[in-house]
Amino acid sequence: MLSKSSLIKPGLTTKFRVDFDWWKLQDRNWRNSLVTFMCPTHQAIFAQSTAAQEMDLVNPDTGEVTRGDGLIQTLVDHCARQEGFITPNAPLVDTVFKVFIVNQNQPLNSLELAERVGKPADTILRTIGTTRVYKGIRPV
Amino acid sequence: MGSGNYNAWKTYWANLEITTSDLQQLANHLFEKEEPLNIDGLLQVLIDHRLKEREVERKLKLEDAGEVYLPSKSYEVGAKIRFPEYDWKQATVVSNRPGDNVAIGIFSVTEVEFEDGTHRYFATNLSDHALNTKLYKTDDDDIEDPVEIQNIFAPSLRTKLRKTLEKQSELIRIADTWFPRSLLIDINKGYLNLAEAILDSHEGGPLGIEPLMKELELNTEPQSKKLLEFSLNYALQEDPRFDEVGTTGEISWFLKRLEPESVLEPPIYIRSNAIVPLADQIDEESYKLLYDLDDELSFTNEEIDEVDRVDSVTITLTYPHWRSGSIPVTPNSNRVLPSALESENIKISFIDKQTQQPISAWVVRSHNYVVGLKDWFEQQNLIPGSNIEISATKHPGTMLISSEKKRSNKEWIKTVLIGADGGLVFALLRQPIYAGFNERMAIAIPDRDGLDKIWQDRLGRNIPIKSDVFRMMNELSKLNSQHHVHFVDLYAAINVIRRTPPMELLEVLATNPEIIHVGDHYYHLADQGKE
Repeated sequence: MLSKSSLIKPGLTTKFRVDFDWWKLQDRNWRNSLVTFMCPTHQAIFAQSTAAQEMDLVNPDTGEVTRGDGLIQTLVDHCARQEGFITPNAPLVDTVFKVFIVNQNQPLNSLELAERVGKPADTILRTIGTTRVYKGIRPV
Repeated sequence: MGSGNYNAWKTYWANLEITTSDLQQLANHLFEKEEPLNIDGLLQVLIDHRLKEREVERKLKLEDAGEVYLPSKSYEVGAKIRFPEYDWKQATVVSNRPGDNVAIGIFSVTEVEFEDGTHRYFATNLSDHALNTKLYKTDDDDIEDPVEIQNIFAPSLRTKLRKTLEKQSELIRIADTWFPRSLLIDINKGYLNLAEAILDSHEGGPLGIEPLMKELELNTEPQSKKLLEFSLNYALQEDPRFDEVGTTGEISWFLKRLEPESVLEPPIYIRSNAIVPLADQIDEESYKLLYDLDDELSFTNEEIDEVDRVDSVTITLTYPHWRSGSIPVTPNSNRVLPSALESENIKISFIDKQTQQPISAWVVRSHNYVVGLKDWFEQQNLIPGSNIEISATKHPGTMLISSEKKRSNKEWIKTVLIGADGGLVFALLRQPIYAGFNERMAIAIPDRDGLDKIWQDRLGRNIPIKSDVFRMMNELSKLNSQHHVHFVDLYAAINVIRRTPPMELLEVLATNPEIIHVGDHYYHLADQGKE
């Protein structure tokens, strides 16, 4: 079912973020897609099992441990902080996705994304602002 | 981060009370060093001692509060941990288990219980975590710098320390320097007799301790010099033949018996039974008028001492001070006069600003006057009511003095004449004037000896102030057609025959129905003009 926000045509100032829940529901291969964004070490670890697995997640700021899916947290808290995470000449959708991961998935609009990605804002909007959702990137 | 109470340590130092333990520490220090210390040195020892105490207390407190949480560490069940990221809350370790995260590898998960009963889990034995290298600033880390403590709290701590030291007997004081009584070098009576002879040969003094020791040929090892100085100072202090007359920070000795008579006892003209402080209930204008009369009998010692220093002050002479060759020590004059912690009498010097001639004088703190200016007053042809200026110099014990020099001319001045019956008469006469003066307070005294005789005659008699006030008002009222008498004229006039503080005079004026206040500090005798 489409939400009300889905019916409003996004503009340059519309904020987007990665909706992991939506992605999990829509794409059975979402874990495989995420693993491809990980650093080589963690790619090797998480490629062995693509099934969802609860583990101890360590908060990078407080050291507090919670239980949850380690894949997303490892990607956000570790791999995204590695040098070379965002590479030039990668597909625009992948780069935008990585920008959100580096940005702790905080909402960004096309203008803000353009500054980080180095591509025109309207090009970004035309890519992620359509009815088709890439890698869970949706308007907030 | 901790919530922090920035002023915690300031509150500690502001409220600090000197304890017997502090005094013991000071005594121990002096015993160990075997060298007298001044109040600032003792204060530094006290501050250092308290800082060490606080450091020990702080460490104990930290130990009790538990270690700061670091992911790299491991913690035993029951251990206490503080969590900076959780507002420094404290928790107790409940359990430990191996961590489970293939991306991290080997680590532990430690379950803790906070004081509010909540349970949380934290990574331990985890070397790769940002918190391991994070630096925290706790409340206890707020700067408690001895220099800053000195800057902010030294004045109040110094006062507290002095008061506490005065109440004990183990440490004894010379001027502002302290030492244990039991460590003093014995100075025998022979040396003190010799010191008396030496001071005698210097016309009483003053002589500093170093030249005195030199003349006494009291020699010692360099490391014991200060101790010997202190011991000699103490022996001199305890001997009634000697008087310490130095300003603050300087010790000078004088032979008591050779001190001027006017120092040992106030001249009769400025002698008084008691001070009469300015009352709070008088109106602001009257208060200012009385305050500006600058009479030493109007002020408490606290009021006189609590003043800020200035470069120079102007003083108007009253008859009692003019006749005594003195000036009053008041909140006004004390702004340039030297201070002394202990000395009752301070030997000072004035320098005539014009001639650069030195004038030896004494500050007599017990009666708040400076004496020794009689000859200078005469040289300057000053009269009661003349203005003089006193200026501070770089040396606390030396001040410049000058009168407002005028070309000699004649002015109409209230003049005291003595009748054949010994009664006083005031008349306006043209008198030669050589210095600037206050018009209301200026009084010419052609017959000083005659007035002296009147003062001597009155010494043994208890003449009521009221009758003197009436006599003076009668005399002064004749000098103008309205027969009004201004308070300041009356104050100056009555002090020609009796030492009268302004407040005492005001009380007489305010409480006698025969005297009418006609406004602007003018008074009128009720039956004036009926005669």
